[in-house]
Amino acid sequence: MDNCPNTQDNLNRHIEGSFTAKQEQALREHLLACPSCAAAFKQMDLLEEVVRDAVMPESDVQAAAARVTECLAEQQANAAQACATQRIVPARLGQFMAAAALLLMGVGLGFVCQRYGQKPNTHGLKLTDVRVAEVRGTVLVKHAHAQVWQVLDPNAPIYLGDTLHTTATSDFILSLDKTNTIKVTQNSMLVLESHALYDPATEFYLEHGQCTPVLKGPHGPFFISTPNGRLEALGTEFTVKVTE
Amino acid sequence: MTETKPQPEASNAELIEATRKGDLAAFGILTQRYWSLAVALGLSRLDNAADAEDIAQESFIKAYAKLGSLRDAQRFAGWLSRIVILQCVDARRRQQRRQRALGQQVSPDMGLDAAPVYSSNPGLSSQQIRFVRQTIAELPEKFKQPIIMRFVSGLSAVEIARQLGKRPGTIRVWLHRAHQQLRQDLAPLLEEL
Repeated sequence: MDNCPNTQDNLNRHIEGSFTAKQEQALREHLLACPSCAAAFKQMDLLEEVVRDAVMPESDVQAAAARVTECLAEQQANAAQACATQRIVPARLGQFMAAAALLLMGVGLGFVCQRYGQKPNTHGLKLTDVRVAEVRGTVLVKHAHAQVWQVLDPNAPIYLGDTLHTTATSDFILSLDKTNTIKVTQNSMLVLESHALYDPATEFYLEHGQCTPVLKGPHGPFFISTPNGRLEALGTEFTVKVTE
Repeated sequence: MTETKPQPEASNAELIEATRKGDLAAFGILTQRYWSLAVALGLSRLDNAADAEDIAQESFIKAYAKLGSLRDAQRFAGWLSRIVILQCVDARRRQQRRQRALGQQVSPDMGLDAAPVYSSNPGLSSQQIRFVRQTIAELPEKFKQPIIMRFVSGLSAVEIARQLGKRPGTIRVWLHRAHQQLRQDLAPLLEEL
């Protein structure tokens, strides 16, 4: 059957995807007249179809893309609302509007900075001995006064004022020292406001979402602030959840 | 605002430029364009479709956050593929850590478990789909990415070479070898069909 001198060459060019549209059309016409090439291409098409079908996604592509953009929009909205929306007090509406406008400008500047590949400046930020113990999924971090959200590197240091943001599919654990940790679950935003495990105090601000401090070792005053109030740790393990 | 709505037929460079200006819809079009590729790359490395889709979603979110570091917009597919592959490696490590922590035996890269699998093709049985995925997973690492880009995205050897920063000749050789191995390993299945 393998009696067409062009069969192998045609197969090779098909594997490499090197046919132009015009050549592809000529090939199709050739296949109608050449049983040798037709049989070889039938096998080739079957192989490709089987492989393609085994690895093609189950979900609808448009729905999947919509999920991704929804998730990103949610992240952006959360970033824009950070330190503003949930602290809103009618008498301070003007301040809130100004803060929100500055924040939006910040987000815009963040994109510009990212576009030109600039890294956020950590100069002048106070380094803490808080470490990332575990990260699952993509967690975002923004340094104090920075405009850029970055993907949290588990080995990177944590600075005072860092804001950490989890998505619907990510969470992380911070290690405050060898025995004390704080776990932050999905869709949460946590700010490290002060860190001095013994004196005077450690304070986190949970903008939204949920976190669980586990304080099994010795520690000084430990606070979790939320838009709804400030909690002091009296036990060894407790969960704080910010709800509407 | 006189911003124009991104068109589905816009080039990658135009969509990336619009995304960098804050247009999420433009990134949505990019996601649609490369979703199948991202899931297929995930399925060539992970056990099940749900994990592969989660990895694809995480990868697009990461790509969005890191878009500033993409130097050549024309190489978005190759850049995204690398993100997907790294996410798969992380996912495998996490899974193995969990298994070790639970005292379970660490499974190889692709486990032939008994759970039913699904694909977009109703013509293949669960077992056949699993067999094909297993065969792809057993390809040498360097062959997987080009063959998926060729079969799923329809890119030519020259385009794949550009995406991956390799020489076209190298990609041609890899495509031929991958084809040969798939033909050989899937022969029993192809005879059945």
